[in-house]
Amino acid sequence: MQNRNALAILGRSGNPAFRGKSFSTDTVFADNPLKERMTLSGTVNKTGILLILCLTSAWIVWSRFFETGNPASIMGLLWLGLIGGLALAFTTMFKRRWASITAPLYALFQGLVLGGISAIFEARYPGIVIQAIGLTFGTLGVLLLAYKSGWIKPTENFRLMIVSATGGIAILYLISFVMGFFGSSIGFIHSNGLFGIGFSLFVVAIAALNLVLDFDFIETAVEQGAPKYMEWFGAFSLMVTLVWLYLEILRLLAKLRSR
Amino acid sequence: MGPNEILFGRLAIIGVLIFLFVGRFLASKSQRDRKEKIR
Repeated sequence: MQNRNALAILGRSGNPAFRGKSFSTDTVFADNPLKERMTLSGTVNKTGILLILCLTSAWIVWSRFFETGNPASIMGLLWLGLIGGLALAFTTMFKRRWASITAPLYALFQGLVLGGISAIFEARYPGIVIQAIGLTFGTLGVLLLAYKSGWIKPTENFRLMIVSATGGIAILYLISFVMGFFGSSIGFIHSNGLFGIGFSLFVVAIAALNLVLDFDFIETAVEQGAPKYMEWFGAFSLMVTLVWLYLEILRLLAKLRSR
Repeated sequence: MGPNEILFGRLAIIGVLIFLFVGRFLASKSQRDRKEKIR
């Protein structure tokens, strides 16, 4: 009972895009005609579209960085992507009916950020980006197989654990961000010592397990016959987790390489 | 293209292909019909 109450407060998934209210207002889908219902294939296709859009805009920033060799040349695009992506992510979370427009735009803006950050890391640690991409999609594939086969079962306790850990990490990052304005920071988050690497490993694991919650959430929505626009919302939510996972893997690899 | 690109590039492609193929099917019966599902 306590678990249920906590989940009601924290939300169904650790992914901020999958808050508890995401489906609660759409829980009765029985009247939806079959053609207007969300499908797994539709969600997979739309995730593919978002990935292509993200890679396209990332490539533009990446190319510009390596043509000029000057990080300042991409800073404008990086900030544009960061602010635009954040605004679009919040818009999609609160207005999920708009997801068919906001999710592709979010992917484009997020690509600017990922392309810029990746290029900066690649210049410092050659070969790191392909490793991070490989590990991100490798994790996606393995966890999808584990979920579909029933090897990992997302129960309420599992969800509570992931949601709590994700919330804790978010608060820690927020505190570190605020402390940054005062010239201070939480040391171990960025350190390449054993504790810093252990922390990064923990965050990567939590980000990866959020994928399982996303899979379960999408499948539940499909089973309930959620409306078609939820395919875009489901794809957007997967993108949010994948982007987070990629950045954390990139950071972990950078810590390991800097030792 | 070095071994780093070949190894991790293949890993990325395999991961994407698994997602594009397996993602279209519903999870196993034991996953869908279990009692301790998230409400």
